[in-house]
Amino acid sequence: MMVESVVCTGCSLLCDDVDVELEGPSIVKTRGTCSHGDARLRGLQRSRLKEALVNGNRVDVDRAIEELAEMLKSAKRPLIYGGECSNNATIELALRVAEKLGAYYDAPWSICRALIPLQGELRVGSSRLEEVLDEADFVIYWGVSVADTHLRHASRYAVMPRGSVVKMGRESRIVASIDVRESMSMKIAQHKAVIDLCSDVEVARAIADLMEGRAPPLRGEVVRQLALLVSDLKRASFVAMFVGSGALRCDRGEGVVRAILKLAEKLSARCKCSVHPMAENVNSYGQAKAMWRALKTCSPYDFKEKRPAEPAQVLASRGAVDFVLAVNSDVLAQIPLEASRKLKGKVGCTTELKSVTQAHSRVAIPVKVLGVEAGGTATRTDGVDVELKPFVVNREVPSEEEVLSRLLALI
Amino acid sequence: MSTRVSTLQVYKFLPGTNCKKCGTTCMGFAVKLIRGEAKIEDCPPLVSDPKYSDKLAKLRELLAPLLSAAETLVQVDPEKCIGCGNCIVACPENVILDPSSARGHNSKSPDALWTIENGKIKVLHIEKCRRYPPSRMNCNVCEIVCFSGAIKVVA
Repeated sequence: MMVESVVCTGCSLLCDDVDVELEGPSIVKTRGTCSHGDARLRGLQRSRLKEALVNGNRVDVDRAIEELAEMLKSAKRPLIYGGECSNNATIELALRVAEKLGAYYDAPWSICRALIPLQGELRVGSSRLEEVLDEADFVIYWGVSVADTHLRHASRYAVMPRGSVVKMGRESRIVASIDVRESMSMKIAQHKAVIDLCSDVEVARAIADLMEGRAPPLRGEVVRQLALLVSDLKRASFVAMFVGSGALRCDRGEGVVRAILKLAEKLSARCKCSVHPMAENVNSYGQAKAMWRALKTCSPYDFKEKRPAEPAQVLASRGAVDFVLAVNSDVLAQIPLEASRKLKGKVGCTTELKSVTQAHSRVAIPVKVLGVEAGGTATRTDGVDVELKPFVVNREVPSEEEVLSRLLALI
Repeated sequence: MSTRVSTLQVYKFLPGTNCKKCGTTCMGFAVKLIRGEAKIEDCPPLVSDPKYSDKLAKLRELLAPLLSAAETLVQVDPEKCIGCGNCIVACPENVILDPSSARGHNSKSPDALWTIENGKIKVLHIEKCRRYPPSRMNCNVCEIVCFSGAIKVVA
């Protein structure tokens, strides 16, 4: 059976023009997905967790939820971790569980969590990707290689398609790529600036200086590249900047984002300018947005003390948490090995797929697969909420929302 | 650096005597070889005279990628493809055949030149490529926008 126009949950682009062919519950063919989306959709059945496990033994889901609730209740300092691969309603529930328990809450660090608070502070706007498609004539990729992460970004929205204003598609747009290495996505860029590690702040200031006709603080080949970039940038009428997690890969992560946003603020005085985070996981944006809305911070949070806390890996490595609930997030694979060793025997999880965290969990509860069996909304990388359209019926496992709602009631 | 086979590269490995036993000059023969309108065997001195054996071997090596390419001289390697869809949307001919691809969508029309299936490119109608005879436009936009090098224009 062919199902048309489903939403792909392979990455945070949430492409809504994908067709899939089903044989029973299995997806046997995809049309219009990139290789990442295809791997997720067609590879699902190979790596599903199908039964609830308590200490490695199969149990029914109800019992597993009760056990998990007991473990959470008996923990003195629990940590609720994740939400980046869940729908928005689940993230809200995870925050409520953390609040009710007086727990820590954290998720994988993401560019969205660095950018959203500053974006409000500096009043730099963000446009819908559809606006970028129609109008953006200058596209900047900063610290991101879309050929490795968001494979359809250039073809679906930012570079290739013909828009109502940029009628010739890629021939009407200038693309600039700023990165610390010559990445695969630089192939489609007219301006390729390979910059020194952790020099993003200086590069952003250099672009601003060159825009205003001042000599930049940098020296060398990169200045020549940036001067050429700026000569085209001055003629742009809509600049769309896409900032990836590469911008966070040094000690000055927040400073880099602030410098990029300040550059965008200056550009906004000359032309339309928008800054977009390139969300790393399917709903990293929704996770950051929910934190910002509920807590007015995107930093890890301590609900007991009602203040920002240290990141999960620091809490784990100094033994500050005695139980972790991973909300469809592979926490043990994401934090350093030394920190994850400290969590041995202290983890429970909800999960779609088998994972390192699931394999080391005292309780593992299988849940419906987001976008395939479970619906709700997820937030696209430009901040737009997208309604997911589940197309496979699975009555054997609960949805993540259902599990967290029941947990919330039990604790 | 371009990996495309040029006429001059081919000419270098021909006898260069303009004997016209193939029906044209050596330069004309080089053009025909690249276009697939002639075979190496159509040059009798090259294949029969031992003094050209080195040139013959090098010419065969040079033209080997062309033999595996379609008549458009576009080589598509689905194994390397990451399914980004840049070629689908950037290809002017594909956009004419399936206008929805102009707006960034995968081509769904069975008449399209190519489509993305199972995360890889699938060639449907290569004969509709504008590099195909008789138009033979020197277009290589698909190669330019291909992130992974899955599409190569060999000559």
